[in-house]
Amino acid sequence: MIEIAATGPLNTIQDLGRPGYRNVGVTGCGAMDPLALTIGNILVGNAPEAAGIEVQTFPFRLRFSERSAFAVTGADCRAKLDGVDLPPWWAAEAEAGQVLELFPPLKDARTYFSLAGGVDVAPVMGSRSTSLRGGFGGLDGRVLAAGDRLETGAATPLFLPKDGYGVVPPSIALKDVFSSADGGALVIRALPAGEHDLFGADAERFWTQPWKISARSDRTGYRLSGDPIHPIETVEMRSHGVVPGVVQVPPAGEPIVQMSDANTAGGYPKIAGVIEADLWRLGQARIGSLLRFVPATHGEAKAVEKALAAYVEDVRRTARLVAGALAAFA
Amino acid sequence: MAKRDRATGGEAIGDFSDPVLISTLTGWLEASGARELEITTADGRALKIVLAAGRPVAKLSEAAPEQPAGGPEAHAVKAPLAGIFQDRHPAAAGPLAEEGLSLTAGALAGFVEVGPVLLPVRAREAGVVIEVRARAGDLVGYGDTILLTEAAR
Repeated sequence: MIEIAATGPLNTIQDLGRPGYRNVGVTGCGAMDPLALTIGNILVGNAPEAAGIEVQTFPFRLRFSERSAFAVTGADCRAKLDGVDLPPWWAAEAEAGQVLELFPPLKDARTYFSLAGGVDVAPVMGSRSTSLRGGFGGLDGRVLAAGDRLETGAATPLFLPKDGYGVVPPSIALKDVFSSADGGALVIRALPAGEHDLFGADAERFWTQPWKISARSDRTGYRLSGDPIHPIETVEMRSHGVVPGVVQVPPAGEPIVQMSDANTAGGYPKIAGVIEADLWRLGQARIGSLLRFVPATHGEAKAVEKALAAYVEDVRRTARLVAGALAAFA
Repeated sequence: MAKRDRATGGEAIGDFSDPVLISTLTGWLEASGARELEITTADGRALKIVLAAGRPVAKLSEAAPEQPAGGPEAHAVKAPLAGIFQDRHPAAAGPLAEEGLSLTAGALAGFVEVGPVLLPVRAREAGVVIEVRARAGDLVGYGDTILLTEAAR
């Protein structure tokens, strides 16, 4: 069991989401950076579907009620265990009574806390993710608060290197695949979507200008600010299904990117769709930062997805081999 | 210690079907305490050796004794496993340990990189770094001395 000692608002229990119910209006939810949560789960020996805590407001502090392996991945929040620094993307073992503290990251937006066995709350429709708008999932469908006690699931026996261990962060290990900033703007690959051509010459400006992530952005979607773009004619559209990554353009002309808590349906014209393999990077983008969309092909999207899967698999296999070798030395 | 370029290191492995090579690697594997070894070269060739289940794996309690050059008080900070030594976290700007720097007991002095996995190199005893032996990017073996410290006087 762990106890939340201090937390900012909007920190929730998340897993990889609740797919399959969008047709009945149930948002997918899930971690904004599913890659970070996936790596955290691997490092502590969890199944991929184990739930962790998504921390997006800091400082965050928790106390371990019992000895437990845990991992801190995602945004580097200068984590400390009983005052001792932990490197970013790191797993270690905490003793009963020890306190883990997460501080505001200097870059990136969200940190993930995973613990051996996962955070054990009752799954709702196959997922432990908190749906804030629906008010279900996670801990009573709400954000975490100081004093909350969270049960831990059954941990798989794991040899955790006694000095802890970690991974090369994906932004570094995969720097050739996820090219970093272009003049300070995060480069996000997207495919032109259904109503792309309806924007005529303005479509070009969608791709070329940097967009700023406005303060009216959250887990549901990012509202972008920049030079507005408009369709060449006003069209009345029926509501249609929407998924995370869809970029809609409301009448005011400033795009909205749907994120993990995406609406299930919408009626604004869609200009583009962010490729799924780039969504974790968008999930780490901060309010006030700039991003630029670059057109991608399905082939490129597939290649990025493969590179991402290869990194995850490499971490999974190497972590097991390293643990095996160290167990033999121990 | 020779610096090895990881991008071309695979070329030096030679012919994977060579029984002498496989037998040598199997010997190293048995002695290492690990059960599995996998090598992939840049041109896509791969070799995987897995020790049979139940076959005893070496239990190493201590690496081969090495004479630290820093005098009797010197304490050797050693590599926890074979891999590439890194003097800093890949996301960090500066090295963790330099000559003259004080390390507390348990302090992080660097990392050993095994593929995407990072293992910490930690000082067991508090002391001042008197010599840094491994350079970032060096291939180090299990128990190799990374640096030497001496108790502060």
